[in-house]
Formats: sequence, C-alpha cells, structure tokens
Amino acid sequence: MTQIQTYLRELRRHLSVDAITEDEILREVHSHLEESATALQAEGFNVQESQRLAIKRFGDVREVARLMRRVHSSSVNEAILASYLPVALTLSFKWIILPLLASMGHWQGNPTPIIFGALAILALLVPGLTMHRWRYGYAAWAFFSVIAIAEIGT
Amino acid sequence: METFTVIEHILRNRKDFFDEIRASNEISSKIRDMLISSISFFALYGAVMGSSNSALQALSSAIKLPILFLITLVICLPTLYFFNLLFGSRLTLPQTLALILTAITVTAVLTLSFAPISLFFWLTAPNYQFFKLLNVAILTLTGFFGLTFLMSGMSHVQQEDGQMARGLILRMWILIYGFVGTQMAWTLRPFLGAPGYPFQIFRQLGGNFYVNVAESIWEILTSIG
Repeated sequence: MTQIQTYLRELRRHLSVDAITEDEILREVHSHLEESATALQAEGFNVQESQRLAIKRFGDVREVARLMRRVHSSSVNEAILASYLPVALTLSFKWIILPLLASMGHWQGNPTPIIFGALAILALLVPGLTMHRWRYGYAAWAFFSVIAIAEIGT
Repeated sequence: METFTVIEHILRNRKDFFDEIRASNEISSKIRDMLISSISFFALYGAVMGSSNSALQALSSAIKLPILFLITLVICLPTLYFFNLLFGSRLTLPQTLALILTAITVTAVLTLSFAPISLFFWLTAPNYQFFKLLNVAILTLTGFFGLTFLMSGMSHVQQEDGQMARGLILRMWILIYGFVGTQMAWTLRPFLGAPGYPFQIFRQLGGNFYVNVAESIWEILTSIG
C-alpha cells in the first residue's frame, strides 16, 4: 500500500460525511496528492520521498478531515432544517402572523392587511430562497400551515 | 450552520468523536457547539409542547425545556466525575462534561426529529392527555438513546483498570439522572399547559411526575372504555 493510499484510508476514518460526499472528497484528494507527487518527482525526488512531501504539504489528516467536515457536512444540516424550519415557520404563522392578521380584520377596505400578509409570507419564504436545497421543506410547512388555518375555522 | 457539523460527527463517526474527546482535541469548541445545538433543538420542541395552551406558554416552554436538561446536567455532573475518579478514571471535568453533553445532544437532535410528528398530532388531534403522554413517550425514548450513547462513549474513552466498577457506577448514575430529570421536569412544569387554564410560568410545588402520568393513562383508558 502506498503512502497516499494509507493517508486516504486514514482520512476516510475521520471524515464523518455521507457516502457520496466521502467518495467525492477522497477522489479529489487522491488526484491532488498524485499530481503533487508527480510534480515533485519531476523536480528530482524519488517516489517515496515525493509522496511523503506531497502528504506533508497537504496537511495533518485530522485537520484536513475537520476542515472537510465543515465544508461538506450538508446532509445532516438539511435533515435538521427539514425538521426545524417547517415547525418553526408553522408556529410563527399560528402564533404571530394569523393573530396579527385577525386583529387587522376591522380594517376592511383598507389594503394594509393584504400588504402585511404578503410581506409576512415573503419573510417566511426567506429560508427557502437563501437555502436552495431546503425548498422541499415548504411542502411540510404548507401542510402544517393549512391545518393551522383550518383549526382556527373550527 | 457550522455549529451543527458536530451532530454529523457524533452520529456518523462516534468512535472518532470519542477519540477526540479522549485526546482533549478542541474540547471547548465541541462543548460550545453541542450546547448551542441542544439548546436550539430543545427550544423548538419546547415551543411545540407549549403550543397546546397559548403563545406565551410556547415561549415559556421554549425557554424551560433546554433549562430542564442543562440544570439536570449541572446537578448530576459532579457525582459522575467524583465517583469515576474514585474508581481510577483519568478523565478531566471538561471531558466528562463533553461526554454527558454528547448524550444530551443526541437526545436533542432525536427530539427535534419528532417535532413535526408532535406538531402534527397537536394540530389534528388536540387531546391534552394524549398529547402529554405522547411527549412523555418521545422524551423517554430519545433520552434512552441519548444515554446509550453516553454508555458507549464512557466505555470507549476510559479503557484503564476498574472499567467494571465504573460501568456499574455509570448505570447507577443514569438512574439518578433519570430521577433528578423527572423531578426537575415536575418542578419546572407546566410545559404543556392544560387547556382552559390561564398561562403560568410555574405551578405550585406538590404532587409527583409518576402519579400524574399514571393518572393520564387512566383517564385515556377510561375515556376509551
């Protein structure tokens, strides 16, 4: 087993990301280390020494794994958002926005409640507009919000 | 969102996470991330629990549920630390804190994953006794899985002599932690707020958590019969 393969095996042990991301990271690091070792060989280093230097320049395996985790740990973050945001948005909708809209009910013929409602919905859309991969969470939010509105009617 | 990378690290690669605790590798940032994660997850779940009564109760429970877990931790941490020391543990106080916080963080993220389910039941079947038992069941289940994490973490981190005695101590500590936690929950109640009752931050002391849960089960069973 070459030094690069040993390094990659150790990196895999510390990564803690999903399997697809892990494969992508390992492929990328592998090609980077191979390229770096090849360049060092062209400068006159032997195979062993070039791999050792390439690994040394790339960084300590734990530190690299930590940085990779920071950059690539999106799948659990998405799952957290998928639980968090629909619930948080529904509670805001139920306890803040709907009561405010109801309190504006007497302003009939005045466009203020409509403008306020539109602004509120726009504000609630912000998480989905800024976090592109969370958009599917809106289905859950819409479902809960419809039930919350229906509950008020009963 | 960087704070939540700690969750992925714990759940996907607990061995590596416990190795880092053993080596005291970035332990303060781990403690900070776990605290932020568990406080925010419990706060949301608390808000769902309190929603059965009013917006104020939701806000109050969002504050009280993280406090419940953290005060229980503060009360029980010295017992585990000193009893472990007595039986030859070489863990430091921050390492012990990090291990217990790992259990609390796992409990918190599992509890968060139940938040949409709890919300669904509250919106579609707003029965107070059922909602109360549902939440007790969810917190018991997630607490159990959190504490199994603590057991595996403790045995992984402490591999010196006296492991058997420390294992026994840990089991006893978990029992104590459970009793302190339930008593603390009873002291800090209401988390749900009975329908029709005015909003209260705290209720008068008295009664008992276990008797109250038994009464709720009885009430549901008699209403079915």
